[in-house]
Amino acid sequence: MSTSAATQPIGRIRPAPTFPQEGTQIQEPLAIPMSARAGIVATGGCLDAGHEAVIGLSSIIEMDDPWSWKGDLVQAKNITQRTIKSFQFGRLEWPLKHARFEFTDFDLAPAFNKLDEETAQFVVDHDLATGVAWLQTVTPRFFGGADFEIDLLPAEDGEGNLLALKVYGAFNSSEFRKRRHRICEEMLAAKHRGLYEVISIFQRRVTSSGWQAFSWYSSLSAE
Amino acid sequence: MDGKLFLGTARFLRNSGFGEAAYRSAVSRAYYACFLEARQVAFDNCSEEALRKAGIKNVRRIGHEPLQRYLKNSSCRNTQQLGENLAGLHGNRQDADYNMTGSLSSDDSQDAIDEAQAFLEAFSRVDPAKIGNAMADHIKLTHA
Repeated sequence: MSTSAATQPIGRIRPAPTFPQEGTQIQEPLAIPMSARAGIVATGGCLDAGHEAVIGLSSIIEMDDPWSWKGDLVQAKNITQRTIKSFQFGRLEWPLKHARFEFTDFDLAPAFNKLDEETAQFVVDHDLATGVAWLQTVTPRFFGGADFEIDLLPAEDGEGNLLALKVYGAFNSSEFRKRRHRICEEMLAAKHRGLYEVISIFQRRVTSSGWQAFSWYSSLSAE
Repeated sequence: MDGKLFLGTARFLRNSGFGEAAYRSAVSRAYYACFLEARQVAFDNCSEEALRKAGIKNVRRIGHEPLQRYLKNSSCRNTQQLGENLAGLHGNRQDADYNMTGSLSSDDSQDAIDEAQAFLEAFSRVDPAKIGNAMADHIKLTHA
């Protein structure tokens, strides 16, 4: 992938990036920006162009401040390890290894999501692991590949918690409502009633300029 | 006071020029306009027997999350969708009130106001008896 493409603002819809050939070995750490909030740091292994996540030592990191990781890959690796551990919390089968990074004009953001400890514990305690794993994989399909996160919302006194699916999108409220109804219908059809009972789905608007590009993105040296 | 009047407050806050604190407050007021209306209608139209069974002595005993469940568990798809919308508004409000990381924009507050407006319009078209029945049915199932 060219360096110039990496410094362009990345919108929700963008041209498919040109991946290197399948089987290309990664010679230096490669960052594939997915959104302003996360990216993939490949520290080794081999790319499966266009589909599966980077095979081998690929990891997903969540970056609250992408600029702070510029050039500091040792720290990025440490963060990666912690992220992987939180995914493994409760021995849940997150769709981490099944993420489809289909870089088409429509599907952009993968169904990755780091749950914090409290959220993961809630999911385990309420037997929602299967439902939440399902939600992570289908959400991009219903919300046009928009970035999203799953988070536990504080409960009112004496009440149950709400599990939030927070979609970072640009839909008008009517369109978002339709999409929410569709995913809820599918949730019920897929027999995730427990999830349906506790889920709250709402949108936070992304900025008009789309997501931020990472300045420390480096192209493959093999290219 | 009629709880729906809080929607006007939400608009006022959103247009106040006081920035993000006002946007967040607008999201909260928009939600309450919907919650208070739905709660009142549910209470007024639920059977005495069901209210007694659930220990609901007055309208204030109907909580946020239970109200969403009454609607979501209705046999009528329109009422279920109202529950989904109310849950979305509630989550939005919890996030706006308690989650200070990230920002909430003027567009986000407008979205919440639009959502609340749409909720109240759709809610007004549903037979209140259906809302009461949805609540009573759910109480019967959960308080057997």
